[in-house]
Amino acid sequence: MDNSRKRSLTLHIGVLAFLFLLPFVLPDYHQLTITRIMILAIFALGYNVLFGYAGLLSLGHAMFFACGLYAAGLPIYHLGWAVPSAFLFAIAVSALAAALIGAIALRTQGVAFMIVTLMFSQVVYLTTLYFSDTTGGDEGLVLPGHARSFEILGMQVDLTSPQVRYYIALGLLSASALIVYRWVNGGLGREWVAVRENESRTRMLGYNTFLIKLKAMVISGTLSGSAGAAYGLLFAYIGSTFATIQYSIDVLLFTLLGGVGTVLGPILGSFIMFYLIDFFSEHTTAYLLATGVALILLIMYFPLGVLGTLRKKWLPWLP
Amino acid sequence: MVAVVAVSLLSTKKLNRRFGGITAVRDVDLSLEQGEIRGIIGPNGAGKTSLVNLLSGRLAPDSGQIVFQGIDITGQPAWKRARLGIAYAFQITSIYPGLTVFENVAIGAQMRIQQSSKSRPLPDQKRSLEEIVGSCLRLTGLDWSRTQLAVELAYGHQRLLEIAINLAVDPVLFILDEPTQGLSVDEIEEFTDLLKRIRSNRTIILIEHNLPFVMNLADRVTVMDQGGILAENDPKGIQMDARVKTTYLGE
Ligand SMILES: Nc1ncnc2c1ncn2[C@@H]1O[C@H](COP(=O)(O)OP(=O)(O)O)[C@@H](O)[C@H]1O
Ligand SMILES: [Mg+2]
Repeated sequence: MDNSRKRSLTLHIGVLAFLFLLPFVLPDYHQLTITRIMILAIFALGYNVLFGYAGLLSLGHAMFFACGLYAAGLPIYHLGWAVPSAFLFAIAVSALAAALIGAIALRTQGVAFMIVTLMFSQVVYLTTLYFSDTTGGDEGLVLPGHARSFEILGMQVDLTSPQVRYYIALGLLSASALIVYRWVNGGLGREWVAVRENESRTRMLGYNTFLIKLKAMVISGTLSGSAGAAYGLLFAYIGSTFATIQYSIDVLLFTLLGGVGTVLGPILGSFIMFYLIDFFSEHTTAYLLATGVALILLIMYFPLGVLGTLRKKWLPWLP
Repeated sequence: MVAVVAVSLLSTKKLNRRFGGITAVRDVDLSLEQGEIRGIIGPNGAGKTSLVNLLSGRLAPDSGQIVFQGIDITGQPAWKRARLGIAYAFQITSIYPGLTVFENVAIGAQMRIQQSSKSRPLPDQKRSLEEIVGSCLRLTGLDWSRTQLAVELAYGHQRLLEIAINLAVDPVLFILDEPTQGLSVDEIEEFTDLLKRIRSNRTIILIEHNLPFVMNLADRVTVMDQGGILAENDPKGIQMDARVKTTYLGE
């Protein structure tokens, strides 16, 4: 038990150390790509808390990503806020949105839950279009120059530098992975898994399963929202494409591909998927079709994903 | 003079529950004493499962009242009743198939530890999760299977596992819905021993079809028929009861 814990910690830290050293050997183009992937990996990490651990399949998680994106970008664009306060504000707004939407959506189960989350997400998307005077709608908004750098603890941070963006993304990813790792390996993680595996048994043991699911929703939505906020702030752009169903499906794919209910799975899945899409879109305009086919093949042959399959066969200690 | 006053742990008043045209539970007044084993028997469809579902909170009554340890719990959700100490082993085995035996019981143990900080303290203060799980597994004879997935266990062992999960929360009232259903003769014998071992500080409701088993264990037996209580007595009295003989024991 203890030994396996050590091994898994070593693995996780090893992965982060690898990412830390990567920029020293990578050309700029890939650095930028990996920065994007790491932010999307935070999104997937958050998604996986709800889907992989609590067993709730949301088809509308783009709404939380977009929520963070806009809650960070709009005050900067319209009110001249500084980057750090915009980021914190976005996290708070995402948490609140997740709590409110969760409180309603969690009254349903299974397919109904999928549909309700999908509908909420459509509402968010249409809202960003409807208020396009403020949000920039489809075209989006490019954040102004004052948002390209900020001061924190007396340090000046330059967001136009690829290295700086890379390490901010890595820092955020590490922090998120650490938080998720601690939660899923603690009492809360046990409660999520219990609800996923057998909700009525869990309720009959004295657990308030609604509250347990709501916690998963809030943590998941907050992580997704902070990923959205980071994306908007690092790349200085906010737009309604991020609220489309495409992003909700992508994050589901990342998680499925890497391994549902593992901490590293969504991170790995984001990497593989991103490069796959990259590859497909170079060779065909039908890359959406390719993603669709990938999803179907995945569910048919690897329902546990890469890491889930590895865990089942060889690495039972993988969290 | 020392009066021995029976302490009522749980009582119901005129409990009713209908499903469409069927009255599954009809005007049931039930009173359980602290520490007794109460057998509930009756033909299929008599309303036994529905009645205990009302007690555990899985079903809401149409009318009537349930009082547990002096508290009116009629309107409380199932999870709150469980926290008050009402545990339920389902008629159809309900465990966590995809998790190890250890993790199955740990889910119960975690609830007990959470609860212990409040109204019901653990007997000795720092009993860890590991210890609670260990003792419940030893008690049910499942210690050998800790690292196995629950789904891989034989049916009889899965039923024992559900008991172990429930024991981990240390219930005050433990409801067992047809626990011997599908068990072999040997397994039933072991099960009888197990119940004798775990009854010490608990009240137990035992719904059963296996009459010798329930007559052997129960302090009192309630006979249900068509949603209502047909008779209630000690096992001897029940076996003599003329009405019970004609409508249920089929003599
Ligand atoms: N969820 C339900 N919906 C409709 N009818 C039900 C439901 N549960 C039980 N019943 C009916 O209520 C009656 C009592 O059932 P039950 O409590 O399961 O009896 P027992 O456990 O004594 O066999 C039966 O007629 C059964 O068909
Ligand atoms: Mg029944």
